[in-house]
Amino acid sequence: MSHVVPLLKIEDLQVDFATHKGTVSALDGVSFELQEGEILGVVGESGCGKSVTAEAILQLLDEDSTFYDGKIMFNGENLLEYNKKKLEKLRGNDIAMIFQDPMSSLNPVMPIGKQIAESIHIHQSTSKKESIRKAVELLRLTGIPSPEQRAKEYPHELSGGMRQRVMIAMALSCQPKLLIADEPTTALDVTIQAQILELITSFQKQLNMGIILITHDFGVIANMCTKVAVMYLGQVIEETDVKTLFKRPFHPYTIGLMKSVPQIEGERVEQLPSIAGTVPSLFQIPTGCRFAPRCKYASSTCESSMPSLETVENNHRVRCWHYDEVLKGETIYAD
Amino acid sequence: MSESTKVLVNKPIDFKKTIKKNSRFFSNRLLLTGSILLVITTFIGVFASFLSPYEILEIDPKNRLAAPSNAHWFGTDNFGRDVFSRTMYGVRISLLIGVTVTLVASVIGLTVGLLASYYKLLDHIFMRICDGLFAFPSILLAIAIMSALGPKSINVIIALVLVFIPSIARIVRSAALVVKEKVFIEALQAQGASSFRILFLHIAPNILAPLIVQVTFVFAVTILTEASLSFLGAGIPAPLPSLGNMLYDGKLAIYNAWWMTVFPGLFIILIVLGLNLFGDGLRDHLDPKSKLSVKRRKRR
Repeated sequence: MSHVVPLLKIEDLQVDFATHKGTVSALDGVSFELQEGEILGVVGESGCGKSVTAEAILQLLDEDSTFYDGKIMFNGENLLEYNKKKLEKLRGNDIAMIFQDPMSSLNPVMPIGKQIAESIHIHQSTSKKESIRKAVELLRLTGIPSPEQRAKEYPHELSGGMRQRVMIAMALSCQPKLLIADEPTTALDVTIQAQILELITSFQKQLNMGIILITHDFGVIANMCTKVAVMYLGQVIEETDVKTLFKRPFHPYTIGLMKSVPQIEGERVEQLPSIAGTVPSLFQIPTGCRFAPRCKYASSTCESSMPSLETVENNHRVRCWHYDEVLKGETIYAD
Repeated sequence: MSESTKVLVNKPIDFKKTIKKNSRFFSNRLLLTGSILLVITTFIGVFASFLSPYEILEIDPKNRLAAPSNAHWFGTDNFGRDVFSRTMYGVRISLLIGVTVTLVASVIGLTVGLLASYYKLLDHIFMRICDGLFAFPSILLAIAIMSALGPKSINVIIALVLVFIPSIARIVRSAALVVKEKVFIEALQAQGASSFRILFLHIAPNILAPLIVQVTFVFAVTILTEASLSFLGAGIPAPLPSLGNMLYDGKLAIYNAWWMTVFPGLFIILIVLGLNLFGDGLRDHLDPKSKLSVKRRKRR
């Protein structure tokens, strides 16, 4: 498998923001790869850099104050070397993105059909009429009833779930090879969540897309993804396939995250365990392991030097000095 | 489609229904009054040549400074010209200059404001120029430009356009800066839309409401400024009547012939009042969160 060029391979990606208080490193050494047809889940607390990673792939962050380093290889080409024209061609055509809040990710003063048609028009240079026809067809595929009429409606006339379907229709309008879904269901209620995720999966199977699914819901990860990357404070701290992660997480942070999710089966606990402390500000990043101040296994090594993301087993990579100890010390629930 | 239009055509217009349908418009008194005034003055401007019983340059030396009568409704001026006819034409010229200046200034102001909101370098350049233009009182600046260009009607338009671009560009820029940070703009970028497309096809429609309101005020101020310029002798050159230079002519004979000042002045008031009421009303009408419209909705 290793000789196949991966769909997306991120190597040691660094993203820095220039702020009034100085430069801040939002991502530090993010690496992962994704094959065609794979779904990679990216999990972590708020502010750990999940969304920044997504936006960095398409370079949507503010041009003037963002600095990139490392490599983002898409089909063997480094996206960081692309110029603006090439990026515009790539965005929406080869890589598409779905945003968290469907309420605000559509233009409020334009009918939705026209908005979908526009992105078809941009990339496939079809006529306006043809684009609208295709847009209606896409709306039908995403399960919106009476799409001809809906296409003429404005975003405020649709419910949240409908709007997210419109966003999906728009993202898939050019049959992208990679879809980045940045918390696509966070703003929706649970019943709609399942429908939306199912819709994304069915399209994924048809088009054999790669998907990067950003979420903080382990349930969604377990259901949908083939691979997982856990992020903490701008770094990937653990990366493996889903089954392995749920069976045997190595990193104390991953274990903490999993324990803080309530279990439906088994004994009911009075209080859910939580991870002590808070995420440090990006201005005060610990010198050693970034998780050390909150970690009960932390030693002097952890505080002084940063562990690297090392392969511990097949396809299982962890950024921790003491992962073997952690394994002995923790009992992990059965999946 | 065709059936419904047929029905509409065959039915006599039901005024009560129309009013009920557009009750938000009709219950907004500012907007209603403003619109009526504007309709009247626009009517006068468009049909000035039909409305005026005399030629505007037709002099009648025997009948100088005649008081309002059946023959001359608004009296005559110091050359014996009919003040009524001249006022009608004055309204036409004022409105014509107002519309042209507002249109041109809006288009340029919109473009400048949008570009400034999006490109940092252009922002610095454009906004410093605007600051410079803002530093002068608008009339003073207009006089300065007029004296540089010479007294011609077209130059009045150029001068006023230059004077009013900054105020529109500012409003557009600040509104665009807010819209630019919205998620849907990022979503558009993620769809591969070019900056041009985002600016002019997506940001521009989203800032139309504040722009339109600002435009009505600019319109009003343009008419006032044009009148002031003409009054000061730096505007529309003499034989052509404009509301401003009619006031200037009237000033000389104000104790003998009040009608020469009162009637053109009245029409300036009507136009500017109409525009201001219209602008105020429009602001309430277009802003879904404004107190007026919320209160009205609750009442219903």
